[in-house]
Amino acid sequence: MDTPAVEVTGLTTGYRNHLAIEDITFTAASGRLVGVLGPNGSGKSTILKSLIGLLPPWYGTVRVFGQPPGRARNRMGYVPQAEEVDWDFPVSVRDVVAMGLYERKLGLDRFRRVKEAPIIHALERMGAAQLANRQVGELSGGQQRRVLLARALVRDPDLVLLDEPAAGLDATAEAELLRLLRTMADEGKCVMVATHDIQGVYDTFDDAVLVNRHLVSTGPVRASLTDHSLHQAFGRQLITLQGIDHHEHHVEQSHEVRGGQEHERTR
Amino acid sequence: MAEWLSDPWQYEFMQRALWAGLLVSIAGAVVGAFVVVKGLAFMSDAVAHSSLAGAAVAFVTGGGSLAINIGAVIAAVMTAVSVSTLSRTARLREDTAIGLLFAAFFGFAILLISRSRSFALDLNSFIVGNILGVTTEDLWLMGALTVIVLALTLFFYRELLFTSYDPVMAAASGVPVTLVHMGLLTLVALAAVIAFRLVGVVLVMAMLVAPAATAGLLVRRMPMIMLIGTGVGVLSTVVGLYSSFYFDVAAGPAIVMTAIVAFVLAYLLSGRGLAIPRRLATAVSG
Ligand SMILES: Nc1ncnc2c1ncn2[C@@H]1O[C@H](COP(=O)(O)OP(=O)(O)OP(=O)(O)O)[C@@H](O)[C@H]1O
Ligand SMILES: [Mg+2]
Repeated sequence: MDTPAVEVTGLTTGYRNHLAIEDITFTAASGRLVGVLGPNGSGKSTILKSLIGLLPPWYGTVRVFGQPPGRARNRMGYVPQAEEVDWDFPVSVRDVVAMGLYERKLGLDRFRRVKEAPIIHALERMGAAQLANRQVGELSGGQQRRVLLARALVRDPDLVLLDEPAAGLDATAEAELLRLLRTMADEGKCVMVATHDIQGVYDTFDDAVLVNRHLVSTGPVRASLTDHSLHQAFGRQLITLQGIDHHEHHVEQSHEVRGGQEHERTR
Repeated sequence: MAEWLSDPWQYEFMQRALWAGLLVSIAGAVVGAFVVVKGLAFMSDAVAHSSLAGAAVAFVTGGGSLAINIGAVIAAVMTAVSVSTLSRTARLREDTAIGLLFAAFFGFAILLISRSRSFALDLNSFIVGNILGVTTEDLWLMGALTVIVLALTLFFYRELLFTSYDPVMAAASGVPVTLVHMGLLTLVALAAVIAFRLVGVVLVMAMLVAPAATAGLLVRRMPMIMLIGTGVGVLSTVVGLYSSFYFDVAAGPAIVMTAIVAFVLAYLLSGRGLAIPRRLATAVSG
């Protein structure tokens, strides 16, 4: 566990010529459940896309298990936020989950049958095993979400990147998902989740990465999610976390980054 | 009755036409399945028309049947690749890029042809097809192209399916999506060149879209769409050839109209004619 699962240094990137995030630096370790927080448009999705290798960095570096994202693909699972999936497409749930097992190779072994067991297992973990033979177009929004989650988990990845995975899930499914993510983190995987549920992250996650185009703060939730840092990230919006100890954390703003640039680490 | 059925096949040109129809049905349905689910009908149409430019160049420079077909393949593939490149680099919508290249290639073809009187006849066979004039040489060429199309589709099936279904995740999983997309457009180009012998450039789109769309109403898995689509294509060819033989109508349009009737029947009979309406709407209006 010497190399962290994720190591992002001075990451600046964007879309075409539109700058989205600037000088983001953080690490995420294996065995941790990490929340990526920030207001709309703050760069949460952009960070996850950089980690999976969909967006190349303009400046800075992204390392996943010590390698560039392209080399670590087989160890990552990802569920995008607003997936532009064509739900009318004539494929079954099983076909979609099998796509998560894709490997880039040109040998003739590509004609070998896809193994059933991991597909069924991934669907079972998402409570969707009974959907295996259905057409994806026939599923409800929440069921589709579960299928995409199953596709992300089918390879049993060491780094799991989820962009607002709970959107569209019912309360039970959301609680189950959270339990599953906790289990995976406890199994030693690094699980990063972009979400708007700040209270949920504060209560049940290990670490947070709080952004607003710049890095606002990062580290263990109790240290990184403070009145001050939340105010910095969300501006005037009044966000009060339950259970937060205002006094203690005035002293302990250790991991916060002031002005989005300098890192003050006074532990 | 038996004679009525067997009579046409005594003629070798009818036998060759049937073989040609079989090849077109296979390539058309296999590629057509992707054309229909991805909404590439306009692209197929443009590629077919553009192929005329290559054929014209080959003809004007004195090439024979083989050269003309190869010229058509080259022009069609060039169009497919240019569309993909142009829409990415110039940030044009893909259908705008298609419209531009369609006009450029087809215009160039007509320009060349307008210089040569003798080409007018052959032009006609390119535009409306000349299935009854298919030579053995043509058949071999169509067969070779069909084998290439099948082999490529089979080998890269996973990439084609993944990229068509979810390009973002495909890219995130390491599929070279741009390359795969260009490859798919190239397959469309090859299928179009295989098909225009049969029905002509104007109706090529029908052979790519109608059988696969018909199959899409009846079955809901890609391999089945390809299989049933091939069946619909073969059936349309047979019925079309009989019509041509006995009612003295042009074979190409007769085949296409049969395929369209098959679609309408499937639409009415499936009772769930709503399976792919949105994509079909774009395919037809495209
Ligand atoms: N495809 C895109 N093309 C151009 N700009 C984009 C694109 N996606 C995001 N952006 C821009 O990048 C910035 C960061 O967007 P991002 O999607 O990472 O935000 P987010 O934190 O995930 O927001 P949300 O909470 O709404 O999901 C925004 O300013 C946005 O306008
Ligand atoms: Mg987002």
